[in-house]
Amino acid sequence: MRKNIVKIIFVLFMGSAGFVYAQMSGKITGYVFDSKTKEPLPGANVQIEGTFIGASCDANGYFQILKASPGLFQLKASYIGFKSKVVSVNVRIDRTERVQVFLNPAPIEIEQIVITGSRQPQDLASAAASISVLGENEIKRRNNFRIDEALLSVPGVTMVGENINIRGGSGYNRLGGSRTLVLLDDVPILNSDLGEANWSILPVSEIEHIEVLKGAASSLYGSGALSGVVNIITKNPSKHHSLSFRQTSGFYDKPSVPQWKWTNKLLYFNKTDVSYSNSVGPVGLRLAVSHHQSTGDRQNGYLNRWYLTGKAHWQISDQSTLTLFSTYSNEDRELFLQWLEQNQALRVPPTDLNNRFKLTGYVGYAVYHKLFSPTFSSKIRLSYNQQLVGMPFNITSAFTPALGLSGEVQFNWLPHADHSLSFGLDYKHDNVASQYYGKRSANGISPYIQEIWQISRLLQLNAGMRIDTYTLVGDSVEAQLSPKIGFSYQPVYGSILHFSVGRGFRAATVVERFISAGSKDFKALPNPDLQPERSVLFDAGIRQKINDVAYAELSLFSSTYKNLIEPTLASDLTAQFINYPKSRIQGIETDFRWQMWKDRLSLHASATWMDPREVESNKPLFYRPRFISYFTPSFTYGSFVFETDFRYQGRIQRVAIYPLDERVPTKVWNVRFIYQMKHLNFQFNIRNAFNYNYTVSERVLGEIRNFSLSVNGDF
Amino acid sequence: MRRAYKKYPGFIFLIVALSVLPGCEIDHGLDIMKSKITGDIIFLNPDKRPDYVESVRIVAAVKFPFTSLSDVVFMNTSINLSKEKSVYEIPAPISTYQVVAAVWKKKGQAWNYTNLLGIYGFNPLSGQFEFKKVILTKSDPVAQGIDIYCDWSTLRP
Repeated sequence: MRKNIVKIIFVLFMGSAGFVYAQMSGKITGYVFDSKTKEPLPGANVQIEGTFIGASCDANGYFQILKASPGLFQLKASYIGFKSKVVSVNVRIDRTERVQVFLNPAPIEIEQIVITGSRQPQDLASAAASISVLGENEIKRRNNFRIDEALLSVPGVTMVGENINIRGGSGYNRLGGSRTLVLLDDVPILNSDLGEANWSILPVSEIEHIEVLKGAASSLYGSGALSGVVNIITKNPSKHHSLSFRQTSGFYDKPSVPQWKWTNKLLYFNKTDVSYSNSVGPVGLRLAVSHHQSTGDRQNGYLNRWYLTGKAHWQISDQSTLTLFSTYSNEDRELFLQWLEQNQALRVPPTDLNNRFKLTGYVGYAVYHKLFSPTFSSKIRLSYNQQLVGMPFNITSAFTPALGLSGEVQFNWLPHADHSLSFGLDYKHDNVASQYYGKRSANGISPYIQEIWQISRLLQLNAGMRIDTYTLVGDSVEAQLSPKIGFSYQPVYGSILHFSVGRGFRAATVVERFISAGSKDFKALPNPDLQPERSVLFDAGIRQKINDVAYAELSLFSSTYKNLIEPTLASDLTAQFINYPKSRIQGIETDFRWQMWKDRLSLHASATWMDPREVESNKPLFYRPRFISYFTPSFTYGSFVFETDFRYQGRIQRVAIYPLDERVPTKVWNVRFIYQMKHLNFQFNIRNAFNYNYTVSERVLGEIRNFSLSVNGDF
Repeated sequence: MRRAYKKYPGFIFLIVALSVLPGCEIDHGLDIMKSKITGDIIFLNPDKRPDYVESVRIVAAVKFPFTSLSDVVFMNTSINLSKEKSVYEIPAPISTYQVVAAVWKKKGQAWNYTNLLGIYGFNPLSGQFEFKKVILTKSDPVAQGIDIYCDWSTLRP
């Protein structure tokens, strides 16, 4: 009875809020353009300040806000890589106000809206935590095959094998779970058995931008967000017809070491991405098909991958929308686990020859948004994640796809002009089965609350907490409280100080606790007593704008980890995951952007210094470099662009398996020439231009030099 | 030229920058490993080779007895078991190796590098049984004549 009363009150409250809001209103429509090129900006966001009412632009830069209350409002337009702009709009009853907004390109990326730092839209400039954004243009220019390759240009990010490291937070945990949570449009997509990210789940061409939150973020997202969060935001359907294609073809050069040559055949790759988008009435649709194929640059390098992606956006009413998304990937590939020997670094041991397996992944979600009033909105999300990412030890056939179901209810409320509140509940169900760890299922339920308080015009406070309860059916219950607090302060115009402290945790994955495998060359023992990993992160820094042409950011960070879960490998090739005691990573990160010479020359440089250590032994942590840097000069002259990327990663200090092997720093130059026409874009790429040899993980050489030509069309 | 410089400064800068590049000495990073251990592996009593032996590899260990895989360097290929004597070569980083040995693998099972079949310094023919170190240095990166005797008759499953 009591429950029913609560339900009735809730429905009445929601219904009345919707009713009040649905009264007399006007309409705002318009376009958002690049002020320099006069081209439309698809994906740009437009929002009435102080409310949740807004819209995003379609392929023609067009937007419409159907139900706006009458009155004078400030309309804010924002887009990644552009300065936000606020224009005044006077909304009148039953009238349509038309606006055109021209945004200026910005080298200063702080004037952007991000969502990952607080689970609600927020200016990057005022974020308390360190967040980097990788925009669509940067992603497009680099023309990467996979998401993880694109992430390498983010300050502080490195990859060891397929493990992403944000400020050295992960190391290399083959078979172990990821210490960085990966989201797709805010939906967690780590697979349910291994707890790893599948970087092949989505073609890079379907990404609108990527937000990378650095540091512990379990107060926002729960387990997995131990050292950071990667949020991949996909492109939205457009209001009008839009067709895009990209064809890339290329070939691999000879290795720089003649003894490594292993075939006389031409080694090549092809990548085709096609997408189409249109709207039929209130429903916008986007469909994309991609096919990637490569012979690889080495033995067992073959790859054949298909993607099918779809997104639908239905404007059900003025106050509600439904978004459906699904992506499917199918990969047939050979496995290069490690080289035969350093003197034959592009060959595999004879026993590994033609090791081949198929991987599939499917992620789908439905998100329903409801705007109850200009200051109160909700989001309900259901998602399904089915992935067979596979074991990199040739025993994929022993696994069944891991299933992950999750749901979320979130409310956003602006109780006052200075307060913005988000609260909600996440639910997660994992179901996995394999002959190596049996049948397992788990449930997680997590309430959370986040507050952004604009204390004064110059000072903003971010605070929040989350309680995670994760129950492994028939086994243990993990409970964790994760609080966080942070602030940003603008002492003078152009300078922003920020500080945050937060807690992170990651529950041991099913594989880490229960794997019991004995393959041809590898044995694994279970460890059901594994404790969750925990971390506490401090992050403080300054964001400094210099005369609208330059931007610099300096951050100091310190993370303390307890019970890190790492594999040990004995001489009989028996592996087991165990908890390591306390570790600490301290460091400094800088990021600098400079636009000069009438915006013809731009520079982007970043550097991260770290000291990752086990506290008790004072030894360096496994698989972490001490220094990483990235340098991208870009020169534009008319329709021509010449750009290079230089990526430096210091020598990995300590490794677990082959410490005697020679290890070198990573020094990779990528070079590209771009010719831009109105609808077409031609690009010539040289990756690893100096054919530098380094290892991406133990006994696995980085990609050798390759040349490619790509044509991109947008119609 | 001066006019061209004024009109196309970027391109001239680019051409100058690119023309300097070929003159630079380029660091190619990893190269082949020049240090190695080489010798003969000699199988004694070949008629007594058990059927359960699938494969034999050479390992070199910086610590002995070794407890972790990080202590050893090993070949990824198997020795030809049908020959009584084969030449082996194992690329090994510059280091001091406490033991160089042949290890065997049981059919259908994983490698266990503590399954020793023969050790450098142990010669059943001459009656010599001592662990001999192998030292690879930058000035002397190749250790030759590191012969290993393996007596099949001593093997126990």
